[in-house]
Amino acid sequence: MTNHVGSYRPSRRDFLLGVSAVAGVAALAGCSSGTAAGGAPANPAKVKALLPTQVPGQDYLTPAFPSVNGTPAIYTTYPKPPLPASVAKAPGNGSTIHAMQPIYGPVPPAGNRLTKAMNAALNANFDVSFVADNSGGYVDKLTAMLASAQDIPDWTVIPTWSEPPRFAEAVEARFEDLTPYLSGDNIKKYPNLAALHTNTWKYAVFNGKLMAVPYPNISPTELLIYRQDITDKLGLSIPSSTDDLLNFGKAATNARSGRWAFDNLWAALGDVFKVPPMWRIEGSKLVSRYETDEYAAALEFNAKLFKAGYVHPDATNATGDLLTRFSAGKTVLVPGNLLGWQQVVKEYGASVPEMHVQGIAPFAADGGAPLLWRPPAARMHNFFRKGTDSAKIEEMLRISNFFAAPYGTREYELKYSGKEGVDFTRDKNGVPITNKQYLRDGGTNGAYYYFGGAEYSLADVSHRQVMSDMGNWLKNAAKDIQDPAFYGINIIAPADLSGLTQQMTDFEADVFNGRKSVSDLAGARKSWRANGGDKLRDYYAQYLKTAKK
Amino acid sequence: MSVTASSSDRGAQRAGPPRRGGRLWPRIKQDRARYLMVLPAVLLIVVFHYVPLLGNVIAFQDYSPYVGIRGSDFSGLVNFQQVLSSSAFWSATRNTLAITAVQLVFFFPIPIILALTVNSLLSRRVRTVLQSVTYLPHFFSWVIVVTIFQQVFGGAGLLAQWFRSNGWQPWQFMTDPHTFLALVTSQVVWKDAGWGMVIFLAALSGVDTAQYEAAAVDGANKTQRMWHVTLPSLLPVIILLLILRLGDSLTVGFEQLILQRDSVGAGVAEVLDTFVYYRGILNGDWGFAAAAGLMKGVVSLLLVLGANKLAHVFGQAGIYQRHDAPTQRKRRR
Repeated sequence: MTNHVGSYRPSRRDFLLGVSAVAGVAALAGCSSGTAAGGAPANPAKVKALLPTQVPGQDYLTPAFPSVNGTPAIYTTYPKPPLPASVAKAPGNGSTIHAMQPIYGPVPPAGNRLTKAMNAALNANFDVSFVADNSGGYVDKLTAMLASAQDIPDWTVIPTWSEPPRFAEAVEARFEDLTPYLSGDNIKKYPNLAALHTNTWKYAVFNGKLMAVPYPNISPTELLIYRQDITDKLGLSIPSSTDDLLNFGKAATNARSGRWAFDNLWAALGDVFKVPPMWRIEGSKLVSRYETDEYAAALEFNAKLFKAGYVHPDATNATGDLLTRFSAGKTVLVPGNLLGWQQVVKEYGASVPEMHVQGIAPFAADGGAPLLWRPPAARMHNFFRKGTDSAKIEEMLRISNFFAAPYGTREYELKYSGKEGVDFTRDKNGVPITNKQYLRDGGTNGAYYYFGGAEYSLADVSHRQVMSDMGNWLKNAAKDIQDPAFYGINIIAPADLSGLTQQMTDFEADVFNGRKSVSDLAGARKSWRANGGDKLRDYYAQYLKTAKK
Repeated sequence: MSVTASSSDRGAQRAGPPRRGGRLWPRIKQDRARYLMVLPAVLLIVVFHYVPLLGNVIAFQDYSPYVGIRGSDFSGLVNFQQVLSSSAFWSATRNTLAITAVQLVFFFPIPIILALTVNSLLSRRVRTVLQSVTYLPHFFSWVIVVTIFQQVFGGAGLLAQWFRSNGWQPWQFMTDPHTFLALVTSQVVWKDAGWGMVIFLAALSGVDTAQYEAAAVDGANKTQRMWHVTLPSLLPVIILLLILRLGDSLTVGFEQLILQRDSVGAGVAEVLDTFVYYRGILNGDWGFAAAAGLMKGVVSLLLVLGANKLAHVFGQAGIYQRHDAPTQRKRRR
């Protein structure tokens, strides 16, 4: 999906998803849709057989910066109306489909104009229940809903970070197996879905079966962004090593005037110090991220930054907001992601016109080649209720195909901007600028975004500078993206073990704030192992053969 | 603790104390109007509080909501063993008890003091303004309260900036684990002391003013009147609230603590409720969470019963007592 000015408004959750990369990637790698709920890991050959064939999609527009090694394509132009349609006829049969999706803002009223426009375009009575997902409300609703078989709607969108506990069991019990509809060449009936990368489909494999239509993730997720306007004003040089970071911290911090150099950089330091997101495979052994020397080094460095007073005091506080501090100029260099970069410019660009955000070229702590870990390829999944008849499943797949249309198509514009005249007007470049009606109907906060999506792209016709900054950053960084261990394999950790991360997160917070020191790491590692870390290692070791393919 | 007595009660009294057994149905018939009035509330409590207690069976199971209670394996006391053998559980219990003890000493008396102060104010306008100002924070959510504290006392807050502008090192009140108990208590005082005051004000308004006049005539000054008239009248309410507070002593808040857990560290901020949340609920380990909750509930029940008994010993009515209980007989003399 393309990030478009005036239409897609990435939520705080999108930004936070990037910021919490350590917990995020570790959690996503560990907790994202799983294979075994007590069953054996899937045979790699078998998984390959059930994946859909990849059929590259049509390019409706030439990107200013094409996708390289999985990075999003960047567009700085918009097609002239009338827009091409990627889908020949309306996907629906006029039947009623009940769906549920999270929304990152207030819940829109029922039967609003956007709903009517969507239903007309889809030729279906697409009855969507929007559930507010601010601070984790969606997972609570899901947990309750999944517990009872009667309450499942026809179509459920589940973000990978909102997967309730014991998810593998839930998937098995409640959702339909889509392998016969999508595997191999069956996908060719749905060309937009066939354009999705095979890696994205791998994350939709649960319990050895293809159970969902994935919604792709953006890659990479972590980078360091900074306020170029502030660094220019202070005459600071941009850091390209960890020593530079320390010097930058000293030069940029002026606590008296309320400015600190950094927020909590932990999320981005994982890449800088090359700490594996969860495991490293050494021969036939698995080494946990917490047992690596890189982790100890990253921990020590971040503790040093905190101790020196370069980190904003509210950094580990649950009530503050990183982006707000960044936009207010209270911090200069923060961890972020591409969506957050675009969002902060859009949201605060008007009130802070001098704000110029730039990304720091990736660098490595050891001075060697930089590294960016590739995040899991899917961030949400679309599940269909178990027992739905095949005609309806095919209709829902066609609708998902409709929503997965790429940038530059009519369906894409409808999805991210609504109906012309009602929800948006065109600016001088022909780009839709959405209005209050669209915001009230939930469009700006994600209504209808997640039922299907093309591989990520970013677009902004009016903020060419930002796009070009991002494009250049991506061009440089694309070569550094690497797959972590178990990439492409869907593993769900068993219920009592998936909470181990919290212990270590608490330990990290203690070290950063000076309550414990890095020398306590040995004790923390020991208790991690004793409290289930070794059991977790044995559990993942089952997948070693699959991982090595 | 009933204050009024209907004529039928007096009739029963004249007939002597009610006998146990055999006379139940006529008594019910006699009070049927009262039973009917109470029935909806009782039904509500039975359906929404007592029937769900049966669900505690999941504490003895390896519960999965996707197969339900009948489909889940029975695991005996394994969940309880896991809870009790977890060092984080004992650390959380210690923190919970520490917070309860500190709040009992430093928070509990404050609404009483506030009520006594407000009650003795002459100007009605001042009383109303003071009352409103003190109890309004009760309606703020904890997120707002913690944010306000952060903005004032936090590392980048007003106080810290004032310290810095004078060249001193700011006092890290919000991130220092050693001052956490004081921080949490001061937050609770700011938020809820005014609300608690309302209950005591209501109790104070029931004090017979004739007693004050009689005391004044006997030569008692203001302090002596407060000590000998006001406080004894408040005593039943205070004891009642103390007993309820004791029963609630293992619940010291959730939102307030979870918001500050990362700032001060789990070592001091983890309490039983947050422990159950992180270790049990977030992982879907429902049996574990239920076992911890069940133990907490049983201990709280024992505390309430014990405290109530203690209140009887001191001649107070407590939260409930038997109809022919010694305290009532003593009073009728």
